[in-house]
Amino acid sequence: MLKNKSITVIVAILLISLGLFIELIINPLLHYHIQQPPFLWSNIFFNPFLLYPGGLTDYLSLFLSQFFFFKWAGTLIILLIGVSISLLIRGIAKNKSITLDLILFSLPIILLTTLFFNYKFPLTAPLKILIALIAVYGVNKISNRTIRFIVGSATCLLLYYVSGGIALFAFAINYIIAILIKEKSTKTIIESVTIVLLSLAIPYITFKFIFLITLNNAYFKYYLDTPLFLTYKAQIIDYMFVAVIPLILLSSLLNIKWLKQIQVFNEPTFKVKGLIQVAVVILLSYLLLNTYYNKKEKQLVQLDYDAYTENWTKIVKDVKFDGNFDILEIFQLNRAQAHLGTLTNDLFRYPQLLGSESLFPETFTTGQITIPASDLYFDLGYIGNSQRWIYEAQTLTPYSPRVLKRLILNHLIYRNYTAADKYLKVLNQNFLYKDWVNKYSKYITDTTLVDNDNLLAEKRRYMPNDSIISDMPNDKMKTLLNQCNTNKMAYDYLQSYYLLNHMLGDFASRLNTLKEVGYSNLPNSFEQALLLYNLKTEKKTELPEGISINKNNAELFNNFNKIFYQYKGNREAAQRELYQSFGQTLWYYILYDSPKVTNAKIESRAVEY
Amino acid sequence: MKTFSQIISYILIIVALSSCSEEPNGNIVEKNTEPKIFPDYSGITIPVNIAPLNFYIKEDGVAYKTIIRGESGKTIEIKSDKPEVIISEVKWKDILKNNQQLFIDIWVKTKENQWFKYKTITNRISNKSIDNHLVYRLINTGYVLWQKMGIYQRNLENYDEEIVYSNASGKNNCVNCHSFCKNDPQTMLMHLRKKFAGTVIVKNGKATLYNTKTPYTMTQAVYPSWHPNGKLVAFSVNLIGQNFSSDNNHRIEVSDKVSDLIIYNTETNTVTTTAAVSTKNRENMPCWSADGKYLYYISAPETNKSSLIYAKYSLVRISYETATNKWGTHDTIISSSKTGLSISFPRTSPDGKYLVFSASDHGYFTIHNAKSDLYILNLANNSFTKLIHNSEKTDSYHSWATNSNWMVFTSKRLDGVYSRPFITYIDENGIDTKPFVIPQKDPHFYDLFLQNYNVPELITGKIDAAIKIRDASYKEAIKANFDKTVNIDALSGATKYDIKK
Repeated sequence: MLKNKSITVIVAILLISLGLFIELIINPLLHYHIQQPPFLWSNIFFNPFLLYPGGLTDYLSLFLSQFFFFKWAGTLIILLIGVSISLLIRGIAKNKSITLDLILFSLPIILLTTLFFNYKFPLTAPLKILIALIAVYGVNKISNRTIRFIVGSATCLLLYYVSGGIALFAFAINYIIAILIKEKSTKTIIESVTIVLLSLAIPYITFKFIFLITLNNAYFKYYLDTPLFLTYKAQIIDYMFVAVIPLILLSSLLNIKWLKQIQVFNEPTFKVKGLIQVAVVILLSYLLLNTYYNKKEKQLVQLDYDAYTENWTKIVKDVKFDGNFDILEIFQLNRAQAHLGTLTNDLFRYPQLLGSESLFPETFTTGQITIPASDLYFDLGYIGNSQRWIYEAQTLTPYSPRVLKRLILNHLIYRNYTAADKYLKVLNQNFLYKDWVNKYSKYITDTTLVDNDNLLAEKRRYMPNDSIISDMPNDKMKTLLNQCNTNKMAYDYLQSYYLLNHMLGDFASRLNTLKEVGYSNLPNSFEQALLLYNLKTEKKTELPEGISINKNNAELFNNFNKIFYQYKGNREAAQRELYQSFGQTLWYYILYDSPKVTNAKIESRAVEY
Repeated sequence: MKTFSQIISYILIIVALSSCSEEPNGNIVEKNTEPKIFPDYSGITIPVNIAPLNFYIKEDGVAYKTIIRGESGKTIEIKSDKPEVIISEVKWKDILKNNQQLFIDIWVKTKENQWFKYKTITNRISNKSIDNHLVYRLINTGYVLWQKMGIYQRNLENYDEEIVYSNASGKNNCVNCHSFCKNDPQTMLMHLRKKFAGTVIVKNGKATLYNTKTPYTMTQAVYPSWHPNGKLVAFSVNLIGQNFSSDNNHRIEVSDKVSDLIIYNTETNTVTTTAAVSTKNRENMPCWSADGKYLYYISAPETNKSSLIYAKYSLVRISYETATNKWGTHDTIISSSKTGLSISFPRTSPDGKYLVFSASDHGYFTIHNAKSDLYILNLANNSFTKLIHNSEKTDSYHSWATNSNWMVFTSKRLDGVYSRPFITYIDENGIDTKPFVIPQKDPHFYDLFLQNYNVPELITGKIDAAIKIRDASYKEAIKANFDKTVNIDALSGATKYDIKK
């Protein structure tokens, strides 16, 4: 009694700890956010999943992935899958009356949790393994060998269609071990060989005659089809997760002595060995955490989520530069500063190592930048360009709720109510967005509501209607300012673009409109730029009435020049001293940090095709 | 307990059934307007072999009754508390076979318990069948990136849709420009781009991948037209570029820097051309006449900075003798400078009487231009007129049925964003009837489906070469040869255009 109670307590503590870890540290909401699992209650959405093996499980996984929107529900789903796998392993091995110990019980759950450290990890993968294991358990329950053989063979076909090639392999291997555990007899050889042959033959035959897929996918398709920027790349841990199940069953089959010796649950020395096992589980968890938990990746996903929820203050607070940074970090930081009205003041308070690419990320057309670019141009009011990018995103992730929401707003701004209504109908299929859909559906029936909506009305005012959108970011900003000269964000982005590209003449020529966009004094980066420009041109740039350069900055600039000339123009020698006092200035940026000086380029970028 | 729950279940079933089979009763108010239905299947002409036109009633109500009938014979009666009208295929076919008119009567009960009877919808049934399959590419609305893409075939007599080629069987490559010889599903081609690049030609039960780029042609073959003899295919070769616009009715401009025409012989694997279709002007969109004696195409002046995007294309034709490979001289059939129209996608009717083209204010890639409309040209006297039933949105790519009575074309008239395939009847005088969107099993299909129907092509049967096409795509493309008899010096600068420049 005491023994059973202790086991329950240990397992409960383990599961609660894991649950808290998943909910609070991993945070399933971030999986939802980055994957934006699409799901529609419609045959239009469902039918394509019937066209390839494993499609049905992919469909189920997308349905379940929606619940990751709620942290607790995502946590529960992960734990349920893990616990189910562990219980099924116990169930399959139980016939041999070997009680699996704590380590073996917890191993699949811990490994599964580790897989979710990666925010692109698709739920379909563990679901496929779970379904394969359910099939093993079910077929293995049949005591009549002939019936089991027939059902087992039929299950291979069915399982392949439902869950695909990897699930079929998992079924075959675990099934063979399971029947060997059940009856160590040479009579199982034919059954085993048949199952192995079927698992090899079914993918090939169906590839040849039924499914229009690649041979590789016929055997090894395990994850969802996603665009490159959302593609999950398998790691060793994925193989460990798949392999651990037959290994545990094998240990049961072989009745390994040392394992038996450390079995805790029916030993008199329960407490000591139990504690050892708990320690091993903790150590194992720590090792996996240390190896696979990628804090940086989580920060990036969190950053994107914060930008999506317009938590600009948090972004400014959270973004830290540690040498190795992603372009989207600095892009979102610039965007956050612009929303807070501090971009031009704080532009050089953080390293702009990629220059204006961190303002406008669309130099290369890749999936990764489609949504950020669309968001940026929406913010700026350049709806045509926002639309261009969101349709690229929609091509890669057709039913993504985030994409649909942007399309709806853009079409409302465009007064294309029929199209907006269409996307609302699609989004309405998703239970998570009913309130949002209700709000904007009213805009279709009463279109005056769009003009009463501050955000949408502002975008209508800002939106240019140019026939051809320029490739040059500065031209785009000028188009926006020609449309509406009070568009402060466009002004700030244009001026920041000039500063980051050392185009001080163009910058200076735009200062006469400072007041129109709401400036009553010069922001920090403008003052620094102007001091440098005036020095270079030996002219005093005219400023709107009442606006002048702060004396402190003028003094700072003198000091900067003094130090620089102390080193007789030797840039390298002057760098350390200049960095200490001027590392966060335009002057330092132009001399040292600018990509025009460093030739810094984006290290790698996932390009679709 | 069990008995109790059973009783409750029975009551619920009876309630459900009774609510679904309510007969219009009481004081029924007659309305003198037709009910709004989606898709709009009223006042149309339909082919005798079309699948049931499922729809939903766009009138608020709590109960609905629909009767579908011909002048005589069987009727279909659907009573429901839902507005969806899903029609039985067997009864539908029977009505279509035995009648010349199709009537739809609709009653709606409002929540105030008032029944309304709407004016009867009347459609005409044509005993001329439409080719029973439609082939199209399904693509998303992106312009540069793509993910899932495929060519599909739809049986128009029911709702079956099958894959002809899916890029899931390649490496997510692009696939486009499927084309058929005289609507024959056994003789076709399609292009694959990026990975597994080449043109798959299906002929005589075989599928083979060819590389149609030769040292003397600027690109691989692009826009195709099969010669009626089934041996030759005319193609354009194009250097295509894209620009984006803020105009929501014309979000993308597709334009060619240069383009020429070539003829590819599928039997000798040879590409040929002539100076007259390889000029510095931009020759494009070839289309053979029904008898194969003429090649129609469009032509715009040589590119300069302002004309790259905003050039107008004229309709031109040139004679060609297949036996001797002899080209004639070109004639302008419709001049863009005289008409102000920019012409694209010329398609001759199989009976040789008409040519339908799309036209807009500039360029040739009309599928992105809301100003694009369809026109019909009478080839007997070269007079042309706009089709009656164009819309304010894009009406573009079209395909004739083999009997020249039906035409499928894409239109964005439903929502302004997505191309949908519409069928229209063209009578012997070249007059079109109100078009209707191809029916779907789910009447809400067009509300929820987020892909475009691209290049709809009518064919006379099912393509059964899908696996062969896929397997052909895995093989190395066979390189095409350039016709040695063509004087290379006779080729224009355009054809010699070095793509690297």
